[in-house]
Amino acid sequence: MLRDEIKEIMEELRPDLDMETETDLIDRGTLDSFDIISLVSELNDAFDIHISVEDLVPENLNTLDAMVQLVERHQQED
Amino acid sequence: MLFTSFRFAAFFALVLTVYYLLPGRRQWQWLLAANFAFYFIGSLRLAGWLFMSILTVWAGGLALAALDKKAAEQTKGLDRQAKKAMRAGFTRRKKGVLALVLLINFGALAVMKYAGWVFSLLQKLGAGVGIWSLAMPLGVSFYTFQAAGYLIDVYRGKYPAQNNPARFALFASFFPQMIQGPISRYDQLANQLFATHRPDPQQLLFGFQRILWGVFKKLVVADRLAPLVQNLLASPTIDQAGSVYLAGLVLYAFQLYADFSGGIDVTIGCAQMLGIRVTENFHRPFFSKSVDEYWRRWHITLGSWFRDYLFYPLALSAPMARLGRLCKGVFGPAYGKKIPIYAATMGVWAVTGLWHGSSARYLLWGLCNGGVIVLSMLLEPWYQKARQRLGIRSESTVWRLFQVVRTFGLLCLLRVFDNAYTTGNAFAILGRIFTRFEPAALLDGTLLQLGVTAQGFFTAGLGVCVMLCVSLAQRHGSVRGQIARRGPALQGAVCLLLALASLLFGAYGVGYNAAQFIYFSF
Repeated sequence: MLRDEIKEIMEELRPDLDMETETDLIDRGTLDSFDIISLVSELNDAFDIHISVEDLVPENLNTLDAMVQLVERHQQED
Repeated sequence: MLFTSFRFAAFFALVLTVYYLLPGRRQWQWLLAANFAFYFIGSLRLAGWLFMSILTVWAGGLALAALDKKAAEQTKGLDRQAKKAMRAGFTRRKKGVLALVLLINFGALAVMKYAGWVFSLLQKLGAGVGIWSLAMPLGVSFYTFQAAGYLIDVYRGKYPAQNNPARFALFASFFPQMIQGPISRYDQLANQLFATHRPDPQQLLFGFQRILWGVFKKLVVADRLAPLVQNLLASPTIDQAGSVYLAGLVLYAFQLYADFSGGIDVTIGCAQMLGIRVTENFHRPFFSKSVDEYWRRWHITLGSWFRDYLFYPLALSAPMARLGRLCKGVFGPAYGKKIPIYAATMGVWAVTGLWHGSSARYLLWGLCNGGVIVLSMLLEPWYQKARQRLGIRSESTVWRLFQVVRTFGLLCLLRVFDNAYTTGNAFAILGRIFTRFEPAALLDGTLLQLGVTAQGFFTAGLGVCVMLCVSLAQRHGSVRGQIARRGPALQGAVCLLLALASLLFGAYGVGYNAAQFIYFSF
């Protein structure tokens, strides 16, 4: 399932975070720029999509659900 | 017009008074008039530059919006493949517009910033060229970054382009922040500039306190220490003991912070008195536990500008993706993913270094900072293992204190490239620190022969202590808020103390003109 795969990627990237409870990952600065680029590279590779720099806004990356929606949108568009 | 001059105080008092006497719909127009008056009084060259830049960026924004509109109209009713192909065509045209406008603005900035350096380099290499250089209008790179950020955001579809050239001009030229930032984003600043503002006593008082705090930092700390930094670190001759240079680098850290953050305090205070909230540019940087963290807390708006408009596009670019694939094959999947991030980090730091100045030492400064950040990321797993073996808890006060002192020390050493007379001198100073430290030189009176008297050291030292105490108090929220909760008597006393301290203990140059702000020249 897409959600579980993204959660697994995040857990590998930042084992200190509980993705089910985390909100405002970007707004609060929990994910730094290196985390964000690592995450996007992983998502692009894992789902064969192309998340671009225009997508790097808080509303797309603040929560696990937002990340799922971002990937789903790209799967439909790309 | 210097922020700490009486001329600026008179100018701002006039702007503020008329601003609140005017009806709301006229306030933004008055601010625009004040902006142009500020630039015309300050520098005609800057006014000319501003006009060119406002015109090109505003027109570029409209061209991007027109292309977006056309793309939406022409892709209506098309199937998915045709829509994709059509959109790709429009994206190429948008990229062309963006590149052209950025090239005009950054190209002109680069010519002014680096022409002299390139020509002198060519002359040194034996080419028969004369020295040709242009003095850069002061503060112009902050303005260019802000305008470029707007255009890139419009390109990315973050918000619609501003149709009204006068309104765009106001955003692009808001006078309090043009000298040395902060670099504001259009979606955070523009609507505030166009809104109606009525005088709010608390905002007026808080803004005034912030201005006084900035003036105090600039005059009592930065300008007091300036002669020592100039005579010691920026001197063409290297003839002091390493301990004296290290002391100079520590004092330079405080001077630079007091100078730059003091100017930003004045900016934020002026904006607050006008009812406008400008982004903070510092967040207690000297309490950072790593170099990476420090750069997220120092000159925050420039750092976030480089992150959003340079680091992200570079790290996600096709060449970096190719580098990642190549490295995966050579170093394995773990490093294959990380190396493009390291490469993008170094690229951004090289640009940051060159932004600071047209000299090899600035490039070296940038690369050293980037190198330390990359090395820290590479060595992080070993740090953790070593800490665990030694039984040190990452949250223990002693460990955190060690991290803060280590980061501060490291940054002091790196800053030698930012201030030394030449690159060679920077290495010579570092050489002295590590090979001829001679701690006794700190007590033999050498420091008192470098342009700062014992009273000057005492005053600046007290000022630094106050700055650090305020930074510590900021952990519990706004210091002005904490003071306000204790009543108006304390608020008044603080204002009076800051004003008196600046008047009595501030350093003034010839004709009572304070020294220029350091970041003004970037």
